[in-house]
Amino acid sequence: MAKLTKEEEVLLSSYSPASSTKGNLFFYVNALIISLAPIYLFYGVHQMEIADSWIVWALSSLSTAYLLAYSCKNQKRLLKHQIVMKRGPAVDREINAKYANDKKMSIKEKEERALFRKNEVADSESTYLSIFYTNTLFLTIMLIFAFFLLANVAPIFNLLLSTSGSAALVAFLSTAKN
Amino acid sequence: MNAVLVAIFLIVGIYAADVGTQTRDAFILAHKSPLSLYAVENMDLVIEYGLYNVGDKPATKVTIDDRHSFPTQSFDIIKGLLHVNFEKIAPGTNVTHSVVLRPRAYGMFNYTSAQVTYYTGNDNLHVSYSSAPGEGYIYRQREYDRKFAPKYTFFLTFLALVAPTTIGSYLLFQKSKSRFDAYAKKKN
Repeated sequence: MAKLTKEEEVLLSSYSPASSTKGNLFFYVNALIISLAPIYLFYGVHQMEIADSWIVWALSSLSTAYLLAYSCKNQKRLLKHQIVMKRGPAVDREINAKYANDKKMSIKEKEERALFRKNEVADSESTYLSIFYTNTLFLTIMLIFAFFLLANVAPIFNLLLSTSGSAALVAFLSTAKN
Repeated sequence: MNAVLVAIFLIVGIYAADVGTQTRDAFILAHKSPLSLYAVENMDLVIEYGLYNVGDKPATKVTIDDRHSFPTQSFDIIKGLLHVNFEKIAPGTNVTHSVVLRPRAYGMFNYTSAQVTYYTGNDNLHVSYSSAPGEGYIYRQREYDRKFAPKYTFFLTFLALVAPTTIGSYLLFQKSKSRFDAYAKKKN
């Protein structure tokens, strides 16, 4: 197969599910915070003891963090495609306005820059939006489970079901094709 | 036959009249009950003793001794005495006495009766016991908090924990969105 040109590579990367390292780091840090926060709530409100339940806590937070990071990535892939389409004209205008006085730059080069910029914008916007979406969905489901549906269940089962369970549900919802 | 019956009625009548008019010695009914709804470790527990003299003569030198019920290794005495004296309790009157304790440990506890001693009208020493509240559970402080303490501080902290990434990412998205929306609206 022939070597891809830079333009083609950029074009490909804008549709690839892989996200940037920075975005991934953001996903993992966020997932860790969001998976640890409910444990504090269980410690305080459902009175779980550190000594008795640290194993369950570790289990719950690790699985939740993994599932949340996974669903963030999936969600991002879905959103990125939409955002590239949506932001296209606006980014074109931004690039045109920016290089309006640059006579030396060819149209092709401008297009290339616009494409690169589109990918950049879509990448960051979809990262933010996927985190917001995944967090709110997870937290809502988790709180409803932990304090309404399973409020009277033994804390250990309540914890496992409401954190890992709702993270699994969110992960499942993120695997939608469209 | 009739004479025998009349004699029996007479005897019964005389005896009944005597019971109705005779004065009874002092007699004290004592109760002991916790006033606090829940006994909780390291929290105040109020115990009340009530004495009521049902006799017709005053009871003198009345003492309540409940030191054996609340051993000091299990209870701190915050206020009041477990051994008290009352000089005199007049007939038909009552006396209440209360003690504030603080349980040191949690678990089941058997509240036994207090000993009450007094001299009846004719200087006889009477020893009796109060009612016993029976077995009761002393809650752990944590269990009590779990049931009754407000939890909103935990929810506030939880919100503070999840807010930065959730709301922060939304704001960043909005910032970027509004920037490009402005470009889209701008006419070239």
